[in-house]
Amino acid sequence: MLKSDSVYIVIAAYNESSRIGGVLNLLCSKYRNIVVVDDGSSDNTAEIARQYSCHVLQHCMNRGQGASLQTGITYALRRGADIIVTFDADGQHDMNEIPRLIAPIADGSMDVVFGSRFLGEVRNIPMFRRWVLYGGLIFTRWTSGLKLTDCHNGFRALSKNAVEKIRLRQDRMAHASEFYDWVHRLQLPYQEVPVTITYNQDVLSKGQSSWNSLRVLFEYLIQRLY
Amino acid sequence: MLIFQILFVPLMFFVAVLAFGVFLRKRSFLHLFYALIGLCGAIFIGFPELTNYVAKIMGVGRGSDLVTYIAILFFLWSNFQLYVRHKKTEENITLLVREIAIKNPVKTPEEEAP
Repeated sequence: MLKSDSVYIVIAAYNESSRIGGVLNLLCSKYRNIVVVDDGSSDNTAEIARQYSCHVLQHCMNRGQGASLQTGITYALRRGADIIVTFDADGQHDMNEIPRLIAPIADGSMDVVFGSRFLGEVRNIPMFRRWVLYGGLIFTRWTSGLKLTDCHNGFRALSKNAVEKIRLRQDRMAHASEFYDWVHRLQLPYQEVPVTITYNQDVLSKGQSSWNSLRVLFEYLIQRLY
Repeated sequence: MLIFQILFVPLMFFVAVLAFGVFLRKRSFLHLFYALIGLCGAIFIGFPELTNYVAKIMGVGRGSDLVTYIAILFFLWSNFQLYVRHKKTEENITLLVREIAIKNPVKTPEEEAP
């Protein structure tokens, strides 16, 4: 039987002082174990996060989103997490969808659940971003061998069994592709569930540039060589 | 013998001996490769006409072209090796940063209160 205490929500945050408060305000009202990893922010992200009832870890220097998530995951695992949910700090995910995301893991049928914006709903996505994501999706399907409908979606849930085996080596954005590789390599049972992603001006201005996908691709390919 | 040859043949030979010494100590085949590169360098600098002979066999044309191509390939390969080493150092830094962060969680205002 799953205890709600054993569900950990991991948030990687870098210079998110303007948005982290709103996200934590909502999450803390429903979940007890929230881990915020401040990735060496130059603003007061950690200071704001510690005002909420959550665990706040601070990287003493910027290491990237992949590194931050792995830090949060390792911390949650050491504290006895059974299910870990990764959630973005910029408010583009809907916390009401967390129960749907963790349900297949809670009932023991899956080890990894990926959120899919293309099965669910995606609001205000720019056309160019959509095409970049489709390109990434074709590439990810080819490299990972998984039948996916979305890629590079930061909203996902992982079982204890999965996170004990997965070790992210990609410190920066290419970690998202690494998750799929691990699932394929370890033959972990996985599922996609529909989720809602909301792009607003704030998300688009501070988030990843679509052109950055070329850099992500380069980092991902290079690491596969060694 | 040209001044260039007088300077560089012993230098390349020295590199080859040094790399071969490391290969014998560590059984690292990468260093055996370096030793071979050094030895080839010493031979080709000492007898430049040999490069024309090898180039003809490989269908490149001139010996100097062959040397340029090999130099470019070697440069790219050594650059990649350096990049990999850099990435591994980065990974180790991340591990350190992670452990420091996990061992020192940020205190909540209640925990800080006297």
